[in-house]
Amino acid sequence: MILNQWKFKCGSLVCALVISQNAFAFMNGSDLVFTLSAGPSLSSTGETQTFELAPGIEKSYVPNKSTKSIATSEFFVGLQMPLHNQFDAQVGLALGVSSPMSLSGDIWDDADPAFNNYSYRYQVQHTRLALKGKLAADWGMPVLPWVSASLGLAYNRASSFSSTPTDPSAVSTPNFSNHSTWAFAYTLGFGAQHNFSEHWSAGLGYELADWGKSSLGTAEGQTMGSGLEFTHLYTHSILINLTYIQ
Amino acid sequence: MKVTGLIGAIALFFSGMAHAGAPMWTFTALTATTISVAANSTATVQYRVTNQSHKTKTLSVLPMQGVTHVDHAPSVMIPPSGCANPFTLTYQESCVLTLRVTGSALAEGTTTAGPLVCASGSSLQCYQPSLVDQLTITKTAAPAGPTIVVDPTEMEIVRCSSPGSMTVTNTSSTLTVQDLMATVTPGGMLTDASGTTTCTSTLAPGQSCVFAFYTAATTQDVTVSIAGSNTAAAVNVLVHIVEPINTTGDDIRTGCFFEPNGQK
Repeated sequence: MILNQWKFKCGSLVCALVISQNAFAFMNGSDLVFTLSAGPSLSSTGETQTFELAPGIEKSYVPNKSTKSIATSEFFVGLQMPLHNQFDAQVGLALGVSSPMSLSGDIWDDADPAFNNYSYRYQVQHTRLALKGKLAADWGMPVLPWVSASLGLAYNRASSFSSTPTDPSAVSTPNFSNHSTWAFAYTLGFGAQHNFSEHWSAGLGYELADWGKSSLGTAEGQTMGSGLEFTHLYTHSILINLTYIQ
Repeated sequence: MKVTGLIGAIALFFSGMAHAGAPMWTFTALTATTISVAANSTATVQYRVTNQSHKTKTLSVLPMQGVTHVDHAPSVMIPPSGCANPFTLTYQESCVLTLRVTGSALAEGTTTAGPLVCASGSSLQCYQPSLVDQLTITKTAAPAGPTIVVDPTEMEIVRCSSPGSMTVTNTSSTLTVQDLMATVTPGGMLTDASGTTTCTSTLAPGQSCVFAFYTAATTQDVTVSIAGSNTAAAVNVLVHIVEPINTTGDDIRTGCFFEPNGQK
């Protein structure tokens, strides 16, 4: 269902851009541009979260790594138009997808490290659709530096939580449920690209992304609080991009 | 190589440290925890439960098939205290948890689990004894008892007449019938003919005895159930009460008093 929604949105996206291209025909030299970016990302795994699940039952969730590496990719479709003599501007829509990020750590009963009796694991996957702009400078050098920014809507799915007793007397407890969150997301990036031909260019860039909020659902029997959550999930990506200009 | 081994050992030590936990409440077995319980019997298992958390905990036992928590009233929470249901323990406080195992309610075979003791009646925070002290219960068949036969199993007793007799025989060659009783169905009006009845509470192997009854009741059918506390099954005797043909006089023993015309 969600996939179909995306397909619809993507189909609508191309139509909208073709229409936009005609609508902006008054802009001399406006071209349709497609960019595919992909690369590794580092993400913060957050800080220790301590909360009550029911009256008198408090636990701490302690991540066992401060960062996690994942893969991200983005497809951008938009219009490119010259800006003054030395700049090219791109405006369009970007669809970004990440690989599932596995998060793990320890659970301290009573928020007390003396009762470090469980380990946990779950994953978060991020998808976003954003309005994106890019500004490239053509200063006659072999490579064109650029900066970019985007603002859009993210769909963050937290799932597959499992906790495992690490003490033989500890009893398995109900797991947090899967949960999806819609959130605002933004990116900021910079990089450089080289134009290989009239239509093709490739480059390398850095991008900071805030995926927004993600959260697991409550566990069976939980009467207080929610599942583990990120208010902001930041990623730092190195992206190789390939661009085709019509 | 030696350095690599040492580093590995240190890494293993610290990885173990990372998960060095401890139960929040501990269980000390006060009785055997690996037990066999016959289908017709019960057993009791006791643990001392001690709260290791610095927070006060209200604990209860999660339901287990065939195992019930014997609730000790708060009035007996004086050392050595029994655990009420639920029970509240402060840091390092203990109580004795008594569990009754009912053979008839157990699942067949052997079960190793629990007891699961949880905080605030929630499954979000539960602990159990270490594996060696967990309840391991084997349900066994009820021991075979002696078998009795009764002759006859259907008979007539004439109202206000001589007592009717039924003979009970213990067919076992080794086991004595205990607590032998004849029970008349509710409402059935049969009176023990104490002069004729020979059965007592026990019946030795291979021996027989007699239950005899008078009746002054009007015509009806009555069932007499004969069994001992250790017999495999009860034997039912169907008694038809019939009207007397000759009425020759009053009989105080049976409660029968006859009018001159021969009618009661």
